[in-house]
Formats: sequence, structure tokens, C-alpha cells
Amino acid sequence: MEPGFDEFLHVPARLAIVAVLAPADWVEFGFIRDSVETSDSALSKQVSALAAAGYVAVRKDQDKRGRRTFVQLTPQGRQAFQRHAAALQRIVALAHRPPEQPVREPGGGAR
Amino acid sequence: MNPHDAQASLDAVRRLQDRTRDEIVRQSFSPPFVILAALGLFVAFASTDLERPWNFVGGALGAALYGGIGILREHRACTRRKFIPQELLFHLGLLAFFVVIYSIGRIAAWALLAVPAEGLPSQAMVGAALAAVAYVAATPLNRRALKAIVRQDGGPI
Repeated sequence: MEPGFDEFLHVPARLAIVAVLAPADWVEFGFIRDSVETSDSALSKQVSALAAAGYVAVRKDQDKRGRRTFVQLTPQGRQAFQRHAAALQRIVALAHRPPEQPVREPGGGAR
Repeated sequence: MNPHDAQASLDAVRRLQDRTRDEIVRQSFSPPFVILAALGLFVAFASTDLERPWNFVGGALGAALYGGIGILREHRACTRRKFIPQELLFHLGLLAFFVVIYSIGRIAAWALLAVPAEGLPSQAMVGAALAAVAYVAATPLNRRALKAIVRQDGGPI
């Protein structure tokens, strides 16, 4: 397995959540749900798993419009995401690398 | 993990990151906030020709409206970001640009339209109106500049 590849993070729903969180500081729960096109309960389950792993932090705000839940990528989660994305990029790059040429001996045939 | 799946995951990550970035930019330049910020700019600039203490009162009100709109927008946003130095420079540069537009408008009002320094309309009012209109008109360009800044910051790919 490629170094940095994170099996836990590679679950599509988790990777999608982390990708939505990466460019921002705090992101509202509803925006994540709409972006990854999932249900409240499915998102809640994945966010809990990510929080238990220390990859995200959850905060609840109260304002005039009601209770709002925000999710943030922790430094540990950000590092794991960066390592995982780099591992995926390496896997793709390796596939595009031209195959190595066989080394020819002075007498003729390839080794 | 095969390369095809890895590429598909990377494409999904890019698409989702772009969605968050687009939302950050969309919120920053939503029409009601742009119009209220332009109004704040107009009040702050237009009041410079008023007599004391009204010039200070008007300036403070305009600045409070301009700054307050930014704070309110951040508070209501569904995607919040840490303020980064490039963004601060962008906003300061933007303000400096509108001060220049205001000054040009003022000079043009005096030189071309013979508008007096005091009264209604005053040179400051003409300059302020020009700066406020320029602020609204420059929104597509500002949106593009902020998008470039947001793209540089956050997200590994």
C-alpha cells in the first residue's frame, strides 16, 4: 500500500466530507449535507466517526435562526487528508510513468 | 487501489473543494451585502465635506456600516474561513483604490461640473457616489480576485 494512504479516510463519504471542509475553517452541517448529497443521519454517523478519530471537531452555535452545527477539520485531520491526497496523486502518477526500458548487454540481447 | 479509482477520488475531492471555495466567494459578494457596503462607503466619503462634528459622525457611521456588513456576513455564512494576510492586503488595496476613485470624482466634480465644496450636491458627494458605483461595478472582478486567493489557501489539491 502507498505510504500515506489512509484506509479510514478513503471511505467515499468520509473523503467527501473532509474535501468539503479543507478549504474552510468552519463549515455548517447543512452545507456539507447538500454538498456530499447525503441525509442528516448518514452525515451525522460519518462526522461522529471522523470526530472519534480526531479528524474533525464539532461546534454548536445558537442564534436567532436557531441552532447551527459547524464542523472543522482538525490539524491532525488536515495532515491525514494531505497525506492521503498525495498518496492518491502518486498512484495516478505511477500509472502514467512510461515502462522502464530493458538494459541491453554489449553483446546484444536484453537482460 | 488501482490508478483509475485513485483518479476518480482525486476528481471528487477537487469538485467538492471547488464547491466550498465557490460558496466562500458567493457569500462574500452576495448582492444585498455589496449594496449595503457600497452605501457605507458612500456615507463615509460623502460626509467629509460636512461641518464638525457631522463629518466625524458621518464618517464613523459609514465605516461602521461598511465594517459591520463584513462582520454580519461572516456571522451568517455557512462556510467560515480564517482571515489570511493576502485577503487583508486585497481588502486594503480595494479600499485604497476606491479612495483614488473618490478623489478623481471630487476633482472632476470641481473641474468639469463646477460643483461647490459645500452644499447639495457637494464635491465629496459626487466623488462618494462615483466610488460607490465603482464598488458595485467592480464586483465581478473582485469576485475573481478573491477566488484566486481562496484557491491558493486551503486544500491539498
